[in-house]
Amino acid sequence: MNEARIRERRLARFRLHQQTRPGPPGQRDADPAHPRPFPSSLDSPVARERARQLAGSLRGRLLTTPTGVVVETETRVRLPADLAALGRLPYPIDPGRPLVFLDTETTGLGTAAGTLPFLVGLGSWEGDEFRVRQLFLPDQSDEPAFLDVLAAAIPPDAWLVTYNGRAFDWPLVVTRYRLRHRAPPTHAGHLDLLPVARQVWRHRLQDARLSTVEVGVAGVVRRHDLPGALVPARYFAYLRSGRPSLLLDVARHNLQDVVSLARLLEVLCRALRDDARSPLVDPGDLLGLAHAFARQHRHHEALQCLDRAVASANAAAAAVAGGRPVLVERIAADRARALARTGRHHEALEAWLRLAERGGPFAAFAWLQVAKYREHMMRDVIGALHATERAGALAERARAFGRPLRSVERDLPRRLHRLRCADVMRARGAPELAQPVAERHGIGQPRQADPLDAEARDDGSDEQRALRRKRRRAEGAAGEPRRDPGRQERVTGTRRVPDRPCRYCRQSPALEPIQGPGQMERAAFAQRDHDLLMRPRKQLDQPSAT
Amino acid sequence: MLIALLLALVLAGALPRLLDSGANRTPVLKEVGMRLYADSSVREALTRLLEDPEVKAAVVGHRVLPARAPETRPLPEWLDARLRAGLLARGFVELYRHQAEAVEVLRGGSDVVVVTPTASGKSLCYNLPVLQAIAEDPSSRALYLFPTKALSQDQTSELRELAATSRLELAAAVYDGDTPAPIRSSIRAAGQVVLTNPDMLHAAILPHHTKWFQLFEQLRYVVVDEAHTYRGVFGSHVANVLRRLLRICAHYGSSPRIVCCSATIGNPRELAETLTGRRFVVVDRNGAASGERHVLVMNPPLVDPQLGIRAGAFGLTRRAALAFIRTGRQTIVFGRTRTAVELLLTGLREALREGRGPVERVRGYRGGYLPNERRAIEGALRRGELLGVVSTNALELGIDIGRLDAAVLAGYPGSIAATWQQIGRAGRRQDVSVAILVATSSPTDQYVANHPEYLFEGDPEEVRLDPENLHILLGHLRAATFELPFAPGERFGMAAADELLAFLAEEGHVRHAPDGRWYWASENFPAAEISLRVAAPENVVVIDTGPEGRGERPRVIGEVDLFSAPTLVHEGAIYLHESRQFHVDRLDWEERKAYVRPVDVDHYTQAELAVTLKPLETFEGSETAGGERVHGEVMLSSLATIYKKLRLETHENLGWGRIRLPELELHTTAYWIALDPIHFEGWRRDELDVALVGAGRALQTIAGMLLMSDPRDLGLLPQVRSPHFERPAIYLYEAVPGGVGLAPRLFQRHEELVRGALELVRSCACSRGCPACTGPRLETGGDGKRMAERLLALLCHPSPIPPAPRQSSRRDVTRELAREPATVVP
Repeated sequence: MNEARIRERRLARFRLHQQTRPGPPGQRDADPAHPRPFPSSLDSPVARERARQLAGSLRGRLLTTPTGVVVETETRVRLPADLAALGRLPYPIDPGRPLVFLDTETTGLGTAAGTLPFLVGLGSWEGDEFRVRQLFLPDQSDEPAFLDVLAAAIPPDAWLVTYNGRAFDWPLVVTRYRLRHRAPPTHAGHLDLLPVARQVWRHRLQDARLSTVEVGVAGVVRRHDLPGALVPARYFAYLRSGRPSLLLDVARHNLQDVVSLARLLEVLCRALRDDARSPLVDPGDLLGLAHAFARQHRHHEALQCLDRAVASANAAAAAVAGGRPVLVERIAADRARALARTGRHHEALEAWLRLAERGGPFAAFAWLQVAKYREHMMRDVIGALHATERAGALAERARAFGRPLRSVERDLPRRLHRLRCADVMRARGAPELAQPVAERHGIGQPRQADPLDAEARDDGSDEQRALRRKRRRAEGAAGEPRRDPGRQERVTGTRRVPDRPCRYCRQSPALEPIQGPGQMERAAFAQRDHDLLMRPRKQLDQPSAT
Repeated sequence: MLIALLLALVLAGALPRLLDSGANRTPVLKEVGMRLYADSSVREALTRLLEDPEVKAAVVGHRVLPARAPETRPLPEWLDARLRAGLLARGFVELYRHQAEAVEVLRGGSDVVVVTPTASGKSLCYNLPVLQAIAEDPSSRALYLFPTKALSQDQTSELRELAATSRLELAAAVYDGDTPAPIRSSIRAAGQVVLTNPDMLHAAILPHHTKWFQLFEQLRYVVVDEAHTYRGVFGSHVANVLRRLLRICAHYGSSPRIVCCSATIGNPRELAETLTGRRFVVVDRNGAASGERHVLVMNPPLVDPQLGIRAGAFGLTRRAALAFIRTGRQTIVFGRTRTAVELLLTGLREALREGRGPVERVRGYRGGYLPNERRAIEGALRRGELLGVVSTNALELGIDIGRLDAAVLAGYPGSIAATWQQIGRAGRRQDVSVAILVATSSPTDQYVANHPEYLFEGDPEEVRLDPENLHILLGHLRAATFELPFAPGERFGMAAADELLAFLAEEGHVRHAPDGRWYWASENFPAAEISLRVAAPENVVVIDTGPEGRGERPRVIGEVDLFSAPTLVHEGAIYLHESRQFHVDRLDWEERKAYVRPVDVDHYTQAELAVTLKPLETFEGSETAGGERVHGEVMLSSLATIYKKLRLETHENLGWGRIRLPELELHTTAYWIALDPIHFEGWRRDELDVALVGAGRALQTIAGMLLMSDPRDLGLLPQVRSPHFERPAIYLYEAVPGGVGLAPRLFQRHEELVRGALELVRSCACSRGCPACTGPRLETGGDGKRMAERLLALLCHPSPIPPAPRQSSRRDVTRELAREPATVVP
């Protein structure tokens, strides 16, 4: 007790001499000390009255549980939607589960323990109608009731649809359950539309905030919307003053957010609907979707998206003079890649060639791809050399214009060197360099081991390396054992020693390639065993790739 | 010839190591260059060092601490079989006495504080129970707190090694600012032992406790290592962080045992209990073996007895260190500052180069070296590859560098406890070891040099902290409310928190809800507003705008605390940083920014500070010889008035300028001595003035030593005629707003304090006052030393004249009083 008195005295003096900066008048607590504490807000007439007023003002109803009071409102919006394509989305979603669209309003950013979600909007489709239930927390002391009602409102097999809910809304909700000694509600899955928006729509928008995306994608225009940054202050003002009207704007803002979530999902499904009646989808959106498919190794669907993107881009180019050339090129490049991945190598080569000869921004890269095909599949050293030299010329020009193509430049010296050596070899009469590998191995059918992949491991252009990294990450996330040590060593190995000796002349590719027969003798050609070249390339360079 | 010489040089580096293994072998003479060096035992090296007459003359104290046999206990019966096997495999056949006791106390369910010297195997005291708990139940968790990141890294490897030899599956990981984000979530979910620091606990773990629920639900042990570092403001913060931690544990239904480990200090139980608010069992019987140890105190010779100027400590330090390094003995040299470390290192290397010594095998070690570099140095020391290391007190804490042969301390580290920590770095289990303390000319050092028995027989200092300091407490109370609402009547620290929460509710951050609980009601993140390592969150940053006209990007070069800012970075001041001069062009007081540019001038500036002190309330006061001793709360207002420009060498006055800055107020606690004027009848005013300043200086020095506090934590203000008491007074006030408990402790130890101050002044070799006792003679003027001595003697002995009757020792102190400006002595 003595300690308590010491502290009391200290506080009194502290109060006297502390230069406290009092907050603005509205910030101060109206009644700092309540006459007596109540076990829950149910016993406090002030709190009951406050909840009643809030319900009246929002035209909602009071839900009374043994632990407190919650205000619930229900709004129905007509929102016909065709969700047939839901199951085909390249994102984790299960059309068999009840979809629950969820958005929270909170007293701050961050998911630390002191941030309080005080309004949760839950949306679901009922036929052509979209129904939004909003749960309001009338007072901090009603939180146990609020959490119980919320848990009951989310079916255990629900599939959540949120915007940035993976990082923010849901962890915050879970935090509140932990704080109140309750088990967080279970759900079957969670689709966060923020990464989707970044992948599919961001390319034509300023940023990926929900308010931007809903305007640009779903054509939603909000009037008199309350900026999200003002939400916390509104709730604190409500808590202090008890004026329910302060929350009207917040409720409208939240409702709109939930409805927009539904609209975005609907737009996404529409983009996948492939029939003549559907309006043209932005080719950029389709490109994004194709990326998503490719990431899930659904290359056939990716190819479909890209085919539609080409059609859409052509139509757009017909409508608007010019179109978007870079986008068209990018689509073409992705399509060529998708062709290769679906095993249509000849078409892929054709696509790369077309892209290369058009001379667009991806031409140098395309020439390199052509070179790979010619070298490894056709055993057409001359053709490959020609393609590589074309790529080199383009890279040189790009550098002269001050926009060097770094990935191409990294690839070039090695490839050029090797092909020139191979050319000399061919001239010396190595027959295996004349026979197309594709024919010998029946490449062109759906792939088993992609020669491009083997190539990628050797040369490792930036893009392919990134792809591999992503794939690895996806594998890791799927719970597979993290990369085996041998494989990692291989990756770091290639990264650390970029100039392994040339396979033909056994010299560093940084050196000038061998020139003629005389030099050839001196260059350690003797060491190279002829059998090495007799074996198919695949075995040559990946002794233990798997 | 030259090549042969070079070859010899290289060999000189390698040979001593080769010959290092045996203890008593016949000295092997090697001809290297022009000198003869030989590997020899520590004892021989010491004998040879003391043969040097100059060194011999400097020795003022020499103690031999006899060798001690180990005191061991068998491994406890209940120990898990795997753990027992692991211990045996690592060579732990038995436990030392303190380890066994600590382990048993924890087994019995009590909290324990272990107090034993450096390298006595303290970490086993907590690693063993923690691993035992995990062996019994793998879902058990433990949280380790270390004051520095380096220590947590060091301890992780030790813990993992023990777990690995025991074949125990253990997920132990460091969670600090350097932990990569992807790993963090797995540590949260599965880390059985989480090693972190108080700052991280405060800012990252506690506010996000819901993400750590697995840890908090299963938390069995909390380890607070190096607890003696949690003192003063930092300690007061940490105590509040631990209050929050235990509150969160209670929320998740766990009640962890707490293990505190500390270096030898005077009040381990009190420290642990103040830090955590729990009751502790103290284990302080060190059972570790140690060899014979020589401890020497050296004082460099007087250069000018009149002014009391002594030769620098570095020369003697270097000589002593070289004596051991050259004979192949592993030596650690402690410098007090980073600059001192670099200077000593350069000196040592130069001397070794001249004498063809093992230059490359001497390294520096201090904050500012990269972590990897530090790990490499620690490893090289452990393996015996390095012969010498020059370090700041960074190596004083429990980082494992093995045991060395000799330690040389360039300057008294500031406390008996820290001295023994540093001395403890030298000491093999069987062999002889040597520790040498070389005194500098600072007052504290000179006191120790003149009274070596203070070091050998004195009790180690007490550690003080005050978690109830409202400036600190309120910040953490905000953070605690943010983390978890407060139930009505819930305690935070010593008492129920309601009243303080009501105060916070007035500010508007906290809300009292109808259910009686206190809820956080603000968008702010309160933990971000508190920095554990600084008292006042407001600092003035010093920004270098670069030389004029060069248009360089401005960069922040330093910080100055708010109360020093008016005297250090007022406009026109010459600010010194890393021995470079900067001119303060502009001080933006509102934004707390000082803009400076580098200059090269021949003068420095000194600001005059008008300080008034107003006692607000006396907590305790009592009659004492010569007057009255009091502790209470004071309000200090300081106003920087003018500054003088003084020439660098001669200190002649070159001019002055005004400082226009607002008055600063400091509300803090103080201890003061109000002198009875009856004793000073017949003293001239200037005599009294120098006596007060001189005695105050000595008191300040001794106070710092008694309380193990930073010298800057205590301010001094002598008043010839205190406006409140209307008599002469000496105030020692705490520089931290609200104080951290130094003043009440000084009040209690008044007798020791004045006696110590008198001793300091009396035993000082100077004739009329010097920086080592009563302050520089120029400052006190006249015969400051004699006057101060007289004054202090008065305070020590009951005076023959009976004190005049006075009305009451307590008065109405809130009454506004006339202010008398006084000069503050920094």
